[in-house]
Amino acid sequence: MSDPHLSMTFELRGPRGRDWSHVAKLRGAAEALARSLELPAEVLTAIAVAVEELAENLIKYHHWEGQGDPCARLTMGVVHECAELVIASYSQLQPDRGHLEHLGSVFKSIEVHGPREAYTRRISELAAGEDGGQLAQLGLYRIAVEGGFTLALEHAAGADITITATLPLPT
Amino acid sequence: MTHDVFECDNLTVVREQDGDTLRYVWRGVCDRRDAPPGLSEFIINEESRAASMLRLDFTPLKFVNSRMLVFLIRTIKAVSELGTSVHITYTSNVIFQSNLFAALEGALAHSASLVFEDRKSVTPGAA
Repeated sequence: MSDPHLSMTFELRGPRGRDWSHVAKLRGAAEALARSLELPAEVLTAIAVAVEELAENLIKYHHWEGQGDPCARLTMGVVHECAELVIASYSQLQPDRGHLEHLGSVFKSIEVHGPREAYTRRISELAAGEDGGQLAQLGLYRIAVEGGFTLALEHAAGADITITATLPLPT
Repeated sequence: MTHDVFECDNLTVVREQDGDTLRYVWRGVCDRRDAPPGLSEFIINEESRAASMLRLDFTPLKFVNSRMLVFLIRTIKAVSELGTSVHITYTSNVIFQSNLFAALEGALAHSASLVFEDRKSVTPGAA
């Protein structure tokens, strides 16, 4: 995140970091910050979706037993003099579970088809039972479609990964 | 008219039977990590198989996480395969409903027994 005007960062540390109840707490805290900034209701809804989904992914995919950074982080900030809201999650992926390949395919689908069509295709796969398991794998599509965020994926050396969701704020 | 209630965490589903029509009204928030125990059986059972019309009303449902969105999709698909007329009501005033049901209407267009209705005038919590 580049030079936030105002930001807050949550760090989840194992073994208690891997607690699903953190998702609702993070969402509530992010919404509280958004309210304090007097952001409109539709932005609060967008934040709720983005934080919920990114926090779920952090807990699900972070390599809690890894030798690297023991923290999974979620940062929410306002940059460019309140023109943009940025939510970023930083994590070290669990090895050999195919998450990076999955993330790559989601970003590719959004790039090729656009967020709405990519979301519709994923819903169609789920309705047809073509999902191949119990995972929804809808989170990033929802952030883009329901939240209206632009998404970016950075994959640094090793297994470190950053997903950034950016939303222009109403002037 | 008979009336039953299913409750799990922040989700409530009310079942109303009026003659051979069954109506399920979904209300609240569904953010569990796994399917609400007993909800599938509450919806898909001998009564719903025998009904001539099933109405699923999602308009008061405020939020569903992605895991439960899959449960919702599978439930709607299972209901659509009962061979009964199914009427789904939602409101595009709720952003997740707007996107989900528009996509599902296309995905399940082959199911002739399924009708989707967008009640745009409804806002959850306003009633």
